[in-house]
Amino acid sequence: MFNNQLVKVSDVNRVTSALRSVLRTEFPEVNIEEGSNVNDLVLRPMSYLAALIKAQADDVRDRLSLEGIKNSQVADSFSLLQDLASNFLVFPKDAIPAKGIVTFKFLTNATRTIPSNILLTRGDGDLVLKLFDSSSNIQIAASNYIEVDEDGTKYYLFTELFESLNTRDDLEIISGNFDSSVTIPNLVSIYSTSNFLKQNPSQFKNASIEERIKLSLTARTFSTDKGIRALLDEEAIPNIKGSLGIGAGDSEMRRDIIPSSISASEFHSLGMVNVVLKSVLEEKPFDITTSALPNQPIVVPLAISRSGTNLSVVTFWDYSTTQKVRITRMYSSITGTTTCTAALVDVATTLSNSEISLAISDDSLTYKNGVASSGKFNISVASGQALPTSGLFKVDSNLGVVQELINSNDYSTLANNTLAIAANPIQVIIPKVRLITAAGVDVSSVPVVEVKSILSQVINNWSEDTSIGLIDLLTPLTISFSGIATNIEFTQGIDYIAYLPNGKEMLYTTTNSLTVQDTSKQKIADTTTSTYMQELQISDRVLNYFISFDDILVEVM
Amino acid sequence: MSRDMSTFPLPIILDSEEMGKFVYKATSLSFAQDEVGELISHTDTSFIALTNLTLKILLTSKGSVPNKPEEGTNLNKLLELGYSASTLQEDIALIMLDAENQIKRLQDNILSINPSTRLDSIKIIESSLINNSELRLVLVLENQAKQSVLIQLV
Repeated sequence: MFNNQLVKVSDVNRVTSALRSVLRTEFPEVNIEEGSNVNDLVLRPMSYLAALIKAQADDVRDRLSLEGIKNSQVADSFSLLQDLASNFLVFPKDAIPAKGIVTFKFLTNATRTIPSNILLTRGDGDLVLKLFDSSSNIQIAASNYIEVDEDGTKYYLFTELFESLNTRDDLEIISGNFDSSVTIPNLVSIYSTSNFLKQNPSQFKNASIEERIKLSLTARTFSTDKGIRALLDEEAIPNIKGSLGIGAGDSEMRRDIIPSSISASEFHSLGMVNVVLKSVLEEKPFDITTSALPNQPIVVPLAISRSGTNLSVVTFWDYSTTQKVRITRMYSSITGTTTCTAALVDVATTLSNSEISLAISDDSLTYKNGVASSGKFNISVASGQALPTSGLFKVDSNLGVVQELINSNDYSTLANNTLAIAANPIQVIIPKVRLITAAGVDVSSVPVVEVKSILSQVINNWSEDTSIGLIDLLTPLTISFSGIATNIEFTQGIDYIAYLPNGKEMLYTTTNSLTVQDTSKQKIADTTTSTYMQELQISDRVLNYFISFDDILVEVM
Repeated sequence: MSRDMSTFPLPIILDSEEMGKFVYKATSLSFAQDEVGELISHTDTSFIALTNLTLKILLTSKGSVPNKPEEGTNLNKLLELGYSASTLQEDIALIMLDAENQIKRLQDNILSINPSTRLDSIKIIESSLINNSELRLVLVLENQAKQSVLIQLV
């Protein structure tokens, strides 16, 4: 018999909210507000019953003594634990809604409410969006708006996470305007600036069920490493190669250091979590209209151009009293290749006419890699030169969605301070990989494209918590070309550019591991110290490698 | 505009004498199906929504909703535990006032509500003892569109 003394009001309310959210998804036309018959006579009794079951299930879970079985010395205790775990059901999902950030643009910053049952549509109603967290109305206070100025008129923006009701495999939700099912005073428009994210369903179905069974025993939160990985899997965030939870005590956690203005010695306030995402980055062009980069989740400013001509991006590093290190990077839009050089120059050297450099506007933003912020990176040009007009950027579109998930009532915890940030991008350039063919093998018969493809796959899909080693690149090549090539070597080593969260760039070169912690691998060795990198929250486990096909040169002999 | 399931008084089986009087007796509320088996529903802008809500609040015993003990009225208790003829009118007036306040409070939290659904007042037309065990209550519900409906509880 159920023990109704175990049921708490908060449990009933939570279960009611969850059921309401499910009902809204399935039957958006049904009134399930307080006072409706469906809510009061159906949903509420069901919630009470479900809360009773939950309370009993919690009780059962406490009595399972999983730890006891795990640590037991009995021979078959492990298989016993496996059998027990199999009872925690995990099912493949058939349909995954697309998720995206929607912006509401208002004429005033008045306090207003967006009802939880709001539906956004486009076109003939084929596309319908609902709030991701539709358990309660959204109350917007004046401080929640972002003020923007467009042609002398002030507008107030408010963003929220939405998901699609339609879950067709071929459904694509591109950026643009939406219509609202409810009338909101002073609303100018509702729009999304980027496409909605959707994981390839077949990819999700084929995800390791075994892994998900393991994760099903993990609390779905954004506060632990396992919890973060489980949640990103559960919410089907697309194009994620890997993720990592960084918290108190980790060397990459610097965001929680109490400012020197408050504490003289370095002291961590604790209680903060960084959700580091290793996403497949999207390439997007944006116009540059001010002296700052656009307000987008930019992680790599691939190319910056002025009136159609690409400019070199230059970073200066202090080196000695007479010299400084100059890193010069140039992207060719014609060939798709990137060239990068490092040189010691006179300390008085400045930018030339075809060069720009980037600097972060506020040091605290350094700890928010990839997070969109207005005026985050300032652009410097040579004296008398005009500002750039456009750029090609690599952006992490997952950041906004994951941050909204973190902030949603479903996952936010009391007094949480959790931030989704991008892993530090590392662009790899392979100046030359040489294959020496076996006797009798025609040089022209060796598929150069396959060499590039294998190298790209390893680098672009790398999600380990360690840096890529040369052996990780050589092994798949050797296996694929055994019998064809007798020797494979990287004759000029491998170059890689670290795009740092403060807008600076660093060129490395290696013949073994693509690490950023070993500063002796910097092209001008020890331009920075390893402590400098650590202070930027960078280590080998928070790197996101990428390479372009065009940046691999293959020589077959 | 959304829809809500409608509740109806569930008729009980009458004896032949009552049948002859063409009376409709019910002791509980129920959902109902139409001729094709679909649950009968109404829109949240109709007067039925207000009637349903009022009856639900009136007939819910205060304290019976575990996570909202303040919801409902003492009408059932009044009928079950007996009443004093000297304070009956006052008790019923207080119960109706309580119900009216609860409905208005609830409707204040709903953003866009149609005038035909929003309660204006509950008026007691008649409250009288038929005999020692039967009480007749005749109420008039009036919405803000100034429409009204008569409800008789015996």
